[in-house]
Amino acid sequence: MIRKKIAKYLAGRKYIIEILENPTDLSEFKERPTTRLITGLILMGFSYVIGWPAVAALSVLAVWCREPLLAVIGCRCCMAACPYGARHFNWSAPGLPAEELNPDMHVLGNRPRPRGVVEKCTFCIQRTRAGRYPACVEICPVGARKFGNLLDPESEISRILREKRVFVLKAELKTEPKFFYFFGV
Amino acid sequence: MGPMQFLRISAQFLLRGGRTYWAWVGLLVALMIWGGVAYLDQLRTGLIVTNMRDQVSWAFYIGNFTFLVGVAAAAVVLVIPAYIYQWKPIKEVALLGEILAISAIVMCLLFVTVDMGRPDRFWHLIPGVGRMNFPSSVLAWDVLVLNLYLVLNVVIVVHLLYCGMQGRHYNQSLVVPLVLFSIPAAVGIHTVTAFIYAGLAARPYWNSAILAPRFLCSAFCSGPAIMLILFQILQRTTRIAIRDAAIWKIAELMAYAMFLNLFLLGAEIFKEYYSATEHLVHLQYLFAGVEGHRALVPYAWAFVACGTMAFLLFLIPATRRNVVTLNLGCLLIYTSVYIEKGMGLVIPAFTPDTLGEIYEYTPTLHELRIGNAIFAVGFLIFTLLCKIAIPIMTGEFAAAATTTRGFAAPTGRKEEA
Repeated sequence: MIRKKIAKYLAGRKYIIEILENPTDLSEFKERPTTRLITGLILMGFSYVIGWPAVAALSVLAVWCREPLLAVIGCRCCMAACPYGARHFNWSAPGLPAEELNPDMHVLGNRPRPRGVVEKCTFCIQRTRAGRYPACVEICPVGARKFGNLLDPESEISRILREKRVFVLKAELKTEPKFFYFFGV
Repeated sequence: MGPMQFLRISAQFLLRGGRTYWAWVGLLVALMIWGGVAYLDQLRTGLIVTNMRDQVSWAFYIGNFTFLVGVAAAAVVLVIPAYIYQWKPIKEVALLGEILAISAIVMCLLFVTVDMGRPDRFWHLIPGVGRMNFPSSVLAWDVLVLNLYLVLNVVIVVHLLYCGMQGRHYNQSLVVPLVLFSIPAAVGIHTVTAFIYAGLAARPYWNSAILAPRFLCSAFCSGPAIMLILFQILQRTTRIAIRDAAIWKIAELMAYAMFLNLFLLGAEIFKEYYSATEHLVHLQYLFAGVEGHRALVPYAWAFVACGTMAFLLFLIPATRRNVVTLNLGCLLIYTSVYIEKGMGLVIPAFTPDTLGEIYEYTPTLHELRIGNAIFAVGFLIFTLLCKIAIPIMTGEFAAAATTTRGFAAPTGRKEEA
């Protein structure tokens, strides 16, 4: 009972919401383990023993140590650098009413993000991870849009790139976009 | 005389001033409060209170930042003749140039901070503490050189003031290397700032090799223009003596810089208009308007006209030695470079945007208020530092120290010049 209460109290705190909103950066796992990483892993294991509130406490520590948060500072350099206008800044807090939100969310996909950060199209990762097409592909009334795995030589998209006349926008900038235009005939 | 007495006498000088001084400080504080309230509003509701949108994602704040980096870099116009050529008339006032550089850098850092969407994460820009994307991000380089230049100038100014207060000569082996290092650092802050823009292949308006040289040339006009006007105000309101020779020499250097600035601008205009590729559209938006969108056109011609007139005024020795035409020229240069390196640099690059959409940007009242407040902070820093520095430079400080402590302090810093 008391544990549930503590958990509920912590879940309502602003910094906890902040942590849940900001996915952790796991790049450190690829490098040689540092002392901080080992300590973190031990503490994480410990938190499983004593339960949920410990995770919250660790998260608070994480905020104090200022480590696992993503460093999106909202300078908008990436927007100035993007030749395709693909990036969008959250000039204000997201205002979509709760009843209009898609409850099927993905942490890297369609969840509402805080104001003051830049985001872009995720190709509907919450759908593609479940084996479905992105919404824009599914809804297109004439089937003009194709989506697929470029690494699979047998996929529809690979066949199109092989057999059709294909171009990308602003190819001279060498950004090598994976957004292709092809002629249907 | 220890640091405590230095602070105490400094405080005495800060608190002693006529009605004009207090009215001036009061006005600055009022502007800071007015803009501070606007900034709180922006913190609460987000950058939506500005007129920046996805099409024009950098605007008024970043334009002012760019202009002020130039003002800060211009301290070298005084430092080079003073410390490399040991030219006495300018060496007497080089300290004021360094104080201006400090004020300008603080304003730059404030403009970057108010432009950030997540100012709560600013510490990621502190080397060693946050996750700065060094060395691949040019912005990270810029933050680094700006802070380095700020620290350099603060160390130099504090050391000079402290030694001047004690009436002894400054430490040659400390100041000279630092001052010499501040020259490439000043060039560096403006070059790196230009590289932030010039490195973006997505924005053809900026993607030009002569952007950094253009930045430096305009900086060596605008910074000294502010300095000359401030010098004359200080000459009338304080006991400081600034020789006419120093002012004329600075005006002469400005004429050369303005010539190069106009020449490089002309080179850019020729290249765009003669080749007339798709990339011309941004310059067309600035000088002629595109599809009836002409918001920047009057400003564009104003900066060309002001720049040319000022160049002529500073080129002719008779007009750069006349007080009226000199000040007129300074105002014209200030206007010209403020438009060119501010809105004239940032807005056309985003209009039309990468997909051809035209969004006409004009700053909101919130942006103007916040901008005003930041300028007020800069002017306040300059005023307060001058209030301490000028008595030291004229020897009044040492006199005050003698009367308070009762020991004979030698006269101020003027001796060593």
